[in-house]
Amino acid sequence: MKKTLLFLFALSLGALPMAQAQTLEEKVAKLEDRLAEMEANNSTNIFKFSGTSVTRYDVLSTESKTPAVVNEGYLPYLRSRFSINAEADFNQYITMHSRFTTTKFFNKWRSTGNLSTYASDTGGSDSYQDSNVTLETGYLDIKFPSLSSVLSIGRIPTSDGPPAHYWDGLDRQGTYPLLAFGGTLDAIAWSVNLASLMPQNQSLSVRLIAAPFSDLNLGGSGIPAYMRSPNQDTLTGLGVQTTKQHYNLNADYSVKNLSFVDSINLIYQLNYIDQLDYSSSTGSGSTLSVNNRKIQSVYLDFNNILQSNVYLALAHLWTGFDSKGLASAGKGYATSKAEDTITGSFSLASASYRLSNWIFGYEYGSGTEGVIYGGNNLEDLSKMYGFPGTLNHAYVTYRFYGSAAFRVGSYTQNYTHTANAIGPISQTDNKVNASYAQLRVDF
Amino acid sequence: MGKRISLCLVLVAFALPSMAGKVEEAQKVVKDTCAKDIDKDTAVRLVKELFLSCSPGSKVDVQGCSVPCQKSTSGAVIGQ
Repeated sequence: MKKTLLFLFALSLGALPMAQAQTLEEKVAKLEDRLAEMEANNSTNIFKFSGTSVTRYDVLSTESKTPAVVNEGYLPYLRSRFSINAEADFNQYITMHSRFTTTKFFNKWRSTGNLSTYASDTGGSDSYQDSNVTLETGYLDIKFPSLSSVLSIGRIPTSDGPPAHYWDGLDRQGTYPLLAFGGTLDAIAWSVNLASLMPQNQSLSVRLIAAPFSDLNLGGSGIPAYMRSPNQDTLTGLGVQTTKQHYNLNADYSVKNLSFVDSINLIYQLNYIDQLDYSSSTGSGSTLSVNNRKIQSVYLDFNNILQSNVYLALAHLWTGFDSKGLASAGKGYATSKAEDTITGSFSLASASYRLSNWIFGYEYGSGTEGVIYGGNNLEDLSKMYGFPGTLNHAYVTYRFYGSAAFRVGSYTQNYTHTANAIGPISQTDNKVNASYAQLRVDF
Repeated sequence: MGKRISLCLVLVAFALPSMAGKVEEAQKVVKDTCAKDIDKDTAVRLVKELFLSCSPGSKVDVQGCSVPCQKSTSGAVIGQ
């Protein structure tokens, strides 16, 4: 009996390490299973979220003697922008990008005066619509690798283009240059990536973008919505199209790691709008449209020149259109004539010097009578990019905690002419002075 | 002893999905930008700063050297 017990004891001692080893193997196997399950779960999490919060305080003043005497010495504004980005990378050939934005003045009590109702959609993400959230971006990229092409469909990122990213030391924020028609646009775009034909440090993309405008007749008085051509006063429906042609050609070239500069980017953009109709005064029986609207924009930047932390961007905008008809007596678009061709241009130089967490920036702009400006961005309470006159803008940005940027700046706008609107352009000596402080956090 | 090994394996297993490759990427970008070798412990601590909390286009200070933020501004330019 004793021997039997001793044998069993010895056997159990011998078996113990083997049992431990089996337990360890089992544990490793279980861990491997769990790891595989976690990886599988992780791969189903297709969404990535990020966002931006901007809070800004501006103090504007404006004065002029002609065409009207204006002297507003102190116009402070507090406003904010909040965006949430969501990306879905759910398919190796298809990705979705979106940005939901609200831009608002702080606790708006009321607004008075005129507010244009045109382009409320294309300027929606920067039109201060109180608590409403705007779809600033929402598009799909569908890749066709064999054609080196990507089809983009939806609301594409057009606003806040370069050099807007210089102000807070960020990456490029938009597809179109800042000096272009940078409203928020719904579009169908075909991009061809020609990088494979270029040397290794260079890239070239060419994009054809169709972003037609819609002109709607919502009916009324027994007329069903969408069942009539758009109104044009008493000439309802005559030749007014519900869909307006709007095309863009965008060529985007960049070269990196040159001996004298980290990178150079060159963008060319051609924008063409066939015809945009304007509502005429009730009962006037007249029509007004802006035809053959062409905007060309060239943007060129040099980043970190000679390793000196100096960044320089140069941009130029040419614009032109035909005003046809009159909204009311003596009121064409930017003219008093029934038929006229209006051209204009704007040049911008933007330089910044980056020293550790600090960015020191300066911008100079100059525009001529008749220039069209169609961009929208948070800075632009007084339409400071693309106006007839000169712009001087200086700012200092301090970056901290990796994702925060605090900027203070000051700018002046000296107008030579009034901006384009229904009615003739006139000379003005209007001057706008502004100072601002802004906190931006990207998260 | 077995418990310790199991604990280590569990920690590794949990760390892998979020950090897989990022530590090495952090080491490489610091090496490329600053010509510095950093150990894995330092690189692990850098991952969040370099890949998550920085703003795309900005620089992250790594032991006195400015390293470009590794987070990209995805979706700002169509067709890429």
